[in-house]
Amino acid sequence: MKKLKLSLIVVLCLSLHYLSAQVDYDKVGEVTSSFYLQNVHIVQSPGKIIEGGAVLIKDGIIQQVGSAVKIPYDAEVIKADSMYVYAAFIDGLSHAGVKKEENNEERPKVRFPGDPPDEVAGITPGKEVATLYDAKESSVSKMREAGYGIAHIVPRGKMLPGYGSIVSLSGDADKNTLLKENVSLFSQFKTSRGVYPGTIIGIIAKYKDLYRNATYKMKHNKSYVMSPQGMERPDISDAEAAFFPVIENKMPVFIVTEKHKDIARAIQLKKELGFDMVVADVEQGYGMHKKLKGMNIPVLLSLSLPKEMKEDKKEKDKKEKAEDGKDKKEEKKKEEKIEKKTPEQIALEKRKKESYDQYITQAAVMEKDGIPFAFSMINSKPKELQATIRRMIAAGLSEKAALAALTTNAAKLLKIQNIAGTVEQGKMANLMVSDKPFFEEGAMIRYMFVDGQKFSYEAKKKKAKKNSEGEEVDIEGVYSYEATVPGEVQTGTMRIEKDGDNYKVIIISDNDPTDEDKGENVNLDGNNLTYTLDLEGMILAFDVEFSDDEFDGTVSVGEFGSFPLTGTKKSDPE
Amino acid sequence: MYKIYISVVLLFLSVLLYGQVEMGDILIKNGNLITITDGEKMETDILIKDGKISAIGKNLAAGGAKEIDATGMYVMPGIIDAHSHAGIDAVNEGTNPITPEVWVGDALDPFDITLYRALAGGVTVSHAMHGSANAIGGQCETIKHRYGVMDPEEMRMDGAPRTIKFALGENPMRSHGEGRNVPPRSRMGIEQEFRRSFAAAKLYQKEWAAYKSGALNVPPTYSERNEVLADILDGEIIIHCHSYRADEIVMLMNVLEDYGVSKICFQHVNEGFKVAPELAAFGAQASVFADWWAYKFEVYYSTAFNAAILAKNGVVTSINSDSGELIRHLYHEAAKSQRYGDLSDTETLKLITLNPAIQLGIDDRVGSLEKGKDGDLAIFKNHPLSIYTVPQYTIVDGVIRFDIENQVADMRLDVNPEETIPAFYEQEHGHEHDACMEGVYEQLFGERE
Repeated sequence: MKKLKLSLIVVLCLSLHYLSAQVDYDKVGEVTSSFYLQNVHIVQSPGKIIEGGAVLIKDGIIQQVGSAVKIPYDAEVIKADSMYVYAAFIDGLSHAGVKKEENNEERPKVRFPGDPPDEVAGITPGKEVATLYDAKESSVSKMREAGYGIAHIVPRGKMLPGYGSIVSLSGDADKNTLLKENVSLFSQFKTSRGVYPGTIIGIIAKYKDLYRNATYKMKHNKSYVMSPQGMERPDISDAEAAFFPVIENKMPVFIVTEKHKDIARAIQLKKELGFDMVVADVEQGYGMHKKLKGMNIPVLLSLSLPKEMKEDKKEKDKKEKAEDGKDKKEEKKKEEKIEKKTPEQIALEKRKKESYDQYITQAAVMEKDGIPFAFSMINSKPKELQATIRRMIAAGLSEKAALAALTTNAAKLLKIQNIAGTVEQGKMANLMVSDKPFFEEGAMIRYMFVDGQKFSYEAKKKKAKKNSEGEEVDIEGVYSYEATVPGEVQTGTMRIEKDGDNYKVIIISDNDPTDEDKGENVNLDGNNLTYTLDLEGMILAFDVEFSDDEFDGTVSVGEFGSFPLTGTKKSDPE
Repeated sequence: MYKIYISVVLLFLSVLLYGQVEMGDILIKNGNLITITDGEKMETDILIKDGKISAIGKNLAAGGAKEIDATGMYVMPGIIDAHSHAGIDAVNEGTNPITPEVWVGDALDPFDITLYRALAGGVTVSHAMHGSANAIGGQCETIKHRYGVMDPEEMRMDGAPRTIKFALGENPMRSHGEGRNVPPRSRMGIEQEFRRSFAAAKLYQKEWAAYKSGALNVPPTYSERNEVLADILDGEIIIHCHSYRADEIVMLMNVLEDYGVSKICFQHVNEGFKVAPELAAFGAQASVFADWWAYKFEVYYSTAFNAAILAKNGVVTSINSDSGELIRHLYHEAAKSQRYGDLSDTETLKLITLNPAIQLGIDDRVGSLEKGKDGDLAIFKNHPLSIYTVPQYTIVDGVIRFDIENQVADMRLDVNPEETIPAFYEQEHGHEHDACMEGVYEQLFGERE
């Protein structure tokens, strides 16, 4: 009997242990890991389309693609009839999933600012982004909603923030989302306040010093490892050690170079030191693109374009208003109010337009000159991706090149083309499903498959521009604003509170925190807020648009013109 | 649909041939040539071929070159400004008092409109310098005013010797000693900063020589800073030292003598007239203002005769601008030394041509109208030292970079696509007259045209 009791107890203990290891009551698993997309148009790769086919994915891999795919018994059939399936986008460089650090704008306290510790100077090239990645961070889901499945992420920082890794944006904190670790060294021409290096020339000099030092230390280290007797042990700092794979040309450096001069400086640095380089977040690359091609330097274009010029916007608004059938008399009145322009203003606007055209045709020019490129989301907003690409296409970029930049070119640049970038059997189940061809106006992403996990999105209703029946954005709160007037930047706080059916706007300028100014003629139309302010006889007209927790617009000061105004939400209304 | 091709607005924006600097062919006919080294040649032609002066004489054949009729005009070598901060995006790496490793040539700005304004004042070459916040500042860059090029590399004057900025006096003392409690805090401290740096560089040289010869089996710590200081000790870099007071000028000459350095050109050197013989004996040069002083205590004891006194004592002297405004009329600045010092026409014009070229080590290339030298010229209506003079053409490497008759109002190369176009002039542009009258005309006389 004793033996039986003992064996029963042992079995019970063992089975309990077995149970506790298996059941996680917090997590609700998926019914199946197999999905069948039925009757879809598949854009396998740029220019290769299968009309009316199907895609079967299972266990995170694309099992079959084509026109005759059988539905297995365990697959969930996705109602994606007549929708368009693309390979999920791949981002060339961003901070997705890397938390923003608290704002410490004060100068770091250092005894000798001319010779600061590496961390203070922003020199941490060996910091691994894999340790900082948080799959639950809101930026990850924002990227996914924009169509991205994979991103090359890097740490935040100044001159040398650290190593980058390629991650799958599945948002699953438990799963291993790291595709490739420590694939790049990230660099920027950004200085740390008040310490050396404090200028661009300081950064470049420090770079050369660090690189050359690391080269000698590496040599020393190799000799020491081979025969240490009688040899001084090498003293290698973390920063120097981080450069070893770069010096051996095993790891490329990704440098953010937004403007023409930045690119020129990065090219000179590469020429002098000899490392492999990728330029990222390129906004003004049209003057340097041939040189970049000649030196085989891959390019990541920026996804930020200059703000649409007022005329273009006015044309757009006019069209939309005409469609809504707005009162024609009101239109005429508004036009008469527009100030007459002097010849000099007209000439200045012409030059501004030429520069603006150069920026927005950048991608089209690169395509025409046969220079492959991908995109980097690092200083841009994921939700603006579709609109930005459409502007580039309107300026001459072909849809084929746009899709290539978002998928196949990015995969090649990041050396993951064997597992991602196209909708082909055997590749990762990373798919983007939109209800219309993605580059068409009004197309919306309905499903995302990232690493085989399904994410569905409801069709969003178009925001009505007119009356109260349209969606109104919740704008209540306390905002900090920044107005750029000639000669200075004015800052302050703006409180918006609901006042019955309307809104109350109270402005407190930083110049005089005791004085509160109340806005008049407050009107909210969709997400567009307008109001006026009477400052000792001078009427200021405000016109801003709200999106997320920010607003962006202009303040017009009568005959002096209008100036940009931006703001960020600080807190909810008290 | 937007046009894919970018249209070129400016008349002389050359097609970008990357890696190659544009060289031109020009025949300037019948001008009054001020050669500097060979006197004045009235009604004479000068021919530039492939960017170099190929002939000076009468009735030269153009041979396909562009022609300019300079009858009645004065042709002189392009003006050289030995002290400028135009065309660079960073001036002072002021976080450390010793920064010889930084180089303003790493941050050239081909879009700086000051370069065009300098061309409009006949200046073809300038010495883009590091600032005076540090005792040992950064390396400088001699640039040619090839306004219109987009690639910063094309601004460089290839082959020009390396130069570096040193600074004495109040600026380094205030930036570091007063500002951050970091040496130097006094003129004695500045001297020791130099001595310490040179001593460290000497040791560095010894260590690396030992490693290269095999005496040491591990490489010493590499240091960009010490590399540059070692190059100074080896005589490969010309020192340009910001200085005012006579005592500190003599101090630096003593320090340099101790370390065997001889290539030095003092800048500003307002009290240079006190130690002119000592400067001449050392072989030191001086680049001064015509008449700018009393803006700081150390600049109190000065005189407008400074340039003339230094020149007459055998010191190679030049007049510089250190300003985006003075660079537009250096010919008038030079002319002041005729009023204060009675220098001859040639001696005066030497102050802004051959002498600054010597100070920058480029006198074999520019600074006078001689066969074989670079085709850098400035053409004036009326003699350049006359108050009625107006620059007409400025030519760099045989390419017209400034033409007073053919220019547009907006000569900018790089326009911000998000700039706000104000409806009135900002205060700093100085058109306060217009701003005051804004709106009044409309009220009194109805709508403006």
